[in-house]
Amino acid sequence: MVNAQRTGVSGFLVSLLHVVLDAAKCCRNFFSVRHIKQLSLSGFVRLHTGVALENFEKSTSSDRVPAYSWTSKVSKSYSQRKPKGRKFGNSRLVLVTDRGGHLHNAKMLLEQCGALPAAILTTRGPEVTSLRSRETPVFLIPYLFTWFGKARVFNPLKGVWSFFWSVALCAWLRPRKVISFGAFDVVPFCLVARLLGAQIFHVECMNQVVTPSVTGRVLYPFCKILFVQWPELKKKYGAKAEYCGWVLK
Amino acid sequence: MIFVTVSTGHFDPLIEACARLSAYQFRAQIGSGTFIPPFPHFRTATPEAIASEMDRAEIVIAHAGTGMLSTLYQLRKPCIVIPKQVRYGESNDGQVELARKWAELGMGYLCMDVLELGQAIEQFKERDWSFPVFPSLGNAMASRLDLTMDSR
Repeated sequence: MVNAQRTGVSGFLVSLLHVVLDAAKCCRNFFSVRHIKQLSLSGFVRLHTGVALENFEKSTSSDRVPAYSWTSKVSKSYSQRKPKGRKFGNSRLVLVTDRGGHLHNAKMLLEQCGALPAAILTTRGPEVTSLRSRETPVFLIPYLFTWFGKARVFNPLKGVWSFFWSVALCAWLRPRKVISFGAFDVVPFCLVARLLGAQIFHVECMNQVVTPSVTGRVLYPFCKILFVQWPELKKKYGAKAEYCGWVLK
Repeated sequence: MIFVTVSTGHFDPLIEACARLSAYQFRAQIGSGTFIPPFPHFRTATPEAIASEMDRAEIVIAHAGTGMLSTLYQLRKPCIVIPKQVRYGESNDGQVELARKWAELGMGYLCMDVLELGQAIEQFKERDWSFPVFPSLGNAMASRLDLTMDSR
């Protein structure tokens, strides 16, 4: 059973992670700048070192070239390469999911929402090719397990690679809201995104009727809302879990 | 025709059980399994192609994967659902809960043992099926996440 209040070793680890989250508040500022793509690097530094915002906006809102033209060129080309997805309010939405049934359900959910995320992150699978033809860009994330015959074993090397790849993707996509569908492959990206200030919304897989998934247990402390698809499962989580129906229609 | 689908993974015991039932005409999607059945089969296909195969089939035998059962629900097609289990070489029994729930809601026939597949096919033909409708999570999420479509 997973509760909001934890004790013992897990409580210590959660507390430790919260301390790290607090220490990362400066990183959140990076994501809270609304028109970051209009900012030159020098302007960004000045903004975060206490220069008055009005003066800064005055310098960036005009059409004239900022003081350091080479930095503005770099930031401009950087922003142009960023995918232009539909946003939730003024935030970037990123969908991260495993392939197969998770991805299938995620696509159904997007259709119901009428949402077009800035990017879809998924593991390699046969359906990715057809997904690529859509308007939304697709990025692959590593599968964290290795098969030895019919045995599935967590591969720490893939975990390390996934962490660094997640950092790169977060820097590239700058997510403000992340919808996670599991499975465990999504955890590194969700944790990095949370560390950098994004809100995590995890949807438990339909397979989890009465038993919480490992992914759900790990991500629960970091989620804003954890959606379950069966009412029985809501009792196994704490106050942040919600049952609002399922993804099928 | 009975269509058997196991997704991209392997479920050789099920395909072997189908191969033993010579009285029925099977067509199978065998994924990464090592057993090659004597009836028409293919390794994997796009979700659209698999949905088309399901639609054409008289009976569908599926593992209890989310993707397969979602597609069957969209087609409003009942199925014989056989969850992958540890005793069949799967790493966990994660599909059992959903398979049981699927049968409990009247959307499929639960078969826990591949050796009982012949009996399951016969009993499947005699049953009536229903497809309950639940609230849409998508609609709820759109409001809970403050979805606004005005900005790109």
